[in-house]
Amino acid sequence: MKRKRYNSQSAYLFILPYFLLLLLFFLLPAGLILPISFTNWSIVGSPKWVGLGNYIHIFKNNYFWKALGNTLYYTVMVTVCLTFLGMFLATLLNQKLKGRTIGRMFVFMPYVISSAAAGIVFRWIYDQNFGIIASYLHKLGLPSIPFLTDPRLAMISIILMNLWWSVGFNTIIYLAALQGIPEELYQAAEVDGASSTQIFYFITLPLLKPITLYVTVLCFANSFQMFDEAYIMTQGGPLGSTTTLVLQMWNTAFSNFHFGEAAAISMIIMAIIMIVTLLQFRLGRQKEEG
Amino acid sequence: MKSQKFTIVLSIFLAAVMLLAACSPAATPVATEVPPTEAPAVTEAPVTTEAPVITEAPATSKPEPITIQFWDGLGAPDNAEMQALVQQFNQENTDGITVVDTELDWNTLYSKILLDFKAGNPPDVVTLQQTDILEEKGLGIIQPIDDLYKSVNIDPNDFMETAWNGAQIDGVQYAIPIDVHPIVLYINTDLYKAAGLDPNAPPTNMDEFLNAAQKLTDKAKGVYGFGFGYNGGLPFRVWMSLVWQHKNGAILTPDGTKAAFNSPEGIESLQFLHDLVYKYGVTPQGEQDIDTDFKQGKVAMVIEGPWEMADFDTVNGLNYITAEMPVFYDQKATWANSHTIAFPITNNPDKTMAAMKFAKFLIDHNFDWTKNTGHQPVLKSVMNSDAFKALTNWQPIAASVSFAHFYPAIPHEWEVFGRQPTSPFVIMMESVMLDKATPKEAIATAESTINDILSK
Repeated sequence: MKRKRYNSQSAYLFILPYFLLLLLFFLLPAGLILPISFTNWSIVGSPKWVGLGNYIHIFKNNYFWKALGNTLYYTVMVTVCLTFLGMFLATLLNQKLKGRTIGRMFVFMPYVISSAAAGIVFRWIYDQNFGIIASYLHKLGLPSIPFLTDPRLAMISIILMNLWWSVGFNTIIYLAALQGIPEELYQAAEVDGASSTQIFYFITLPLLKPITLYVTVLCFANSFQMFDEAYIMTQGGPLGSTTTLVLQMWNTAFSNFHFGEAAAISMIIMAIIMIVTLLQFRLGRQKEEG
Repeated sequence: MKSQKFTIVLSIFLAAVMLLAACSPAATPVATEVPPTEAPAVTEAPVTTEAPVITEAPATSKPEPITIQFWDGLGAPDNAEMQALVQQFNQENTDGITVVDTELDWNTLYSKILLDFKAGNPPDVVTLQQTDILEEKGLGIIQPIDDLYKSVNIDPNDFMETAWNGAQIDGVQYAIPIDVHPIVLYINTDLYKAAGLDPNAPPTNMDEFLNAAQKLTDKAKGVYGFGFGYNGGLPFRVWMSLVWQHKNGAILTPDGTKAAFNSPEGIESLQFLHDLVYKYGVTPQGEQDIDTDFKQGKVAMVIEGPWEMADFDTVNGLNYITAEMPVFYDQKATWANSHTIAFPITNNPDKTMAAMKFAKFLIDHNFDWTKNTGHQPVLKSVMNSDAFKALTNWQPIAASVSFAHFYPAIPHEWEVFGRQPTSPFVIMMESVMLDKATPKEAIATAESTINDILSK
């Protein structure tokens, strides 16, 4: 019995440094956000209690709803596209084709750079006067496309950039899942005379359901908090079409110095992500049971 | 076995590379990117030359070397001249002062200065727009400098009153102005002459302006008379100039607590700008970059700041003149702001004194500043000098200073008058110029947003 306790004691000691850092630099500050969200505080001087005033102000503000709409549009598009793309590319790269190692490398490589670096690269690619796309269009005699300055195109341009950048991550996850499917299942299906579409639909897809749930939950939580790309590429414009909730929160805190209201926005973001994630898990579990 | 050896060699190589990177000298401060529409900011190289000993009379006691941090929000093309002046100061000054110049875009500068001040780490000297001095003083960041500037022999009498007094709060000096920059009309003289117009008689009122713009517009050739964008800071500054040109035009109430621009004057001015695109057809729709269009001869006239002269001068074969903003309504008026040098509270008197000496240097080189950036000088002695009067295109800009209007100074300056894409005036101009809202609707939206901000 003594040995058992000794073992778990050393285990706790091992995780203590990490846990201390987590506590000091993440859990405590995150926990402080809730009380700050009930105050009016501009970092100069002390916070003033306003109760639910910040929340009411946010919900009455048109810009909040616009940012919420932008964020939902972005998140849904990215999550759906990335899930399908990831699955498609993983299936492709799972085939015994020539050059599939290089293919896997190229698909994953963009994810190695930070989102901010990818944002800067794409801002220049999209640039209407000096960008590489513009110069090719110019050579063909076509007018340049206002990727980042037309309110209808700006968000789509950011979505495309994000697809390029993060599809590798999803692909790797799906690839691992695909390789976990036992060969015998495929062989048995072929013996029974199933076509490749039937194999995919009746064997591969159902077995990928748990991983799809994992991927969509991650994708949703991540893309709902999109900030870097919007900040670097468009700063929220044009016409506020690329202002996401996190960018709105950032502006409120660091441009306008309303930290209380920004804290309130971040609480709302957290609440939305929690609710949607719970819903996703519920749906995922239902499907499994059914 | 071979692959094992290879793996070991590769790991050692990677470890060596990482070790070298970790031991490299302190990283140079990198400027944050300025959006391409304003030309990319140049990464500056920190100057670390020691103050040279004067060869004629060997110094008996070398002063203690002192390094001060300078944050400068001046983007391209001004940054080139400021970097040159900083390097010159570092080489020439005999007090052992080294100025380390970090360039930031204004938005970043204003957030960072508050946060770094709170963290106990503010810069020793910083550029500020004159209209932001009130907000920065209110936040407790900058210090009064009455005794300080006198100790380096800066003479207020040589300064233009608008510039010098504008940097005061309740009679106390908080910053040293280094320039004033009103916006003016630029005219491509080749296109002007080709349209049968006389560049010696630029448009001075609404009729002349529209007449010229229409003559200059040739849609078949893809040339428009007047370039006017929809994003960034410039469009709403032009709109404000038009509002101020009305006898009763105002942006905020005199006490700065409510919006005053939802008025016939405000709506009329906005409608006029909208009509330039959609009624008169002299301005392209959804114009992304008026500076590039002007440089390429796609638009014949633009209203821009004096800083563009340095940019336009780089284009071979572009002949242009500057002219005062035409009087579209009742009286002369144009938007202006002024760059000033301010001194954050650092509780380090030696460094603040060194910073003030740097400011004195900038003032002594006010002519170089105006000549190389186009911003108007603040010293009467420079304005009256023959050398300045010889700069032809500078003269209409200098004349504009006398009828220049600044943003009303309020505590929430940056939130109301900033040029971020999410600022109320930027959104107002975008929605009108892109025909997504009528001027009445757009002004009403901006009014309610701004009243909301001002009421906080």
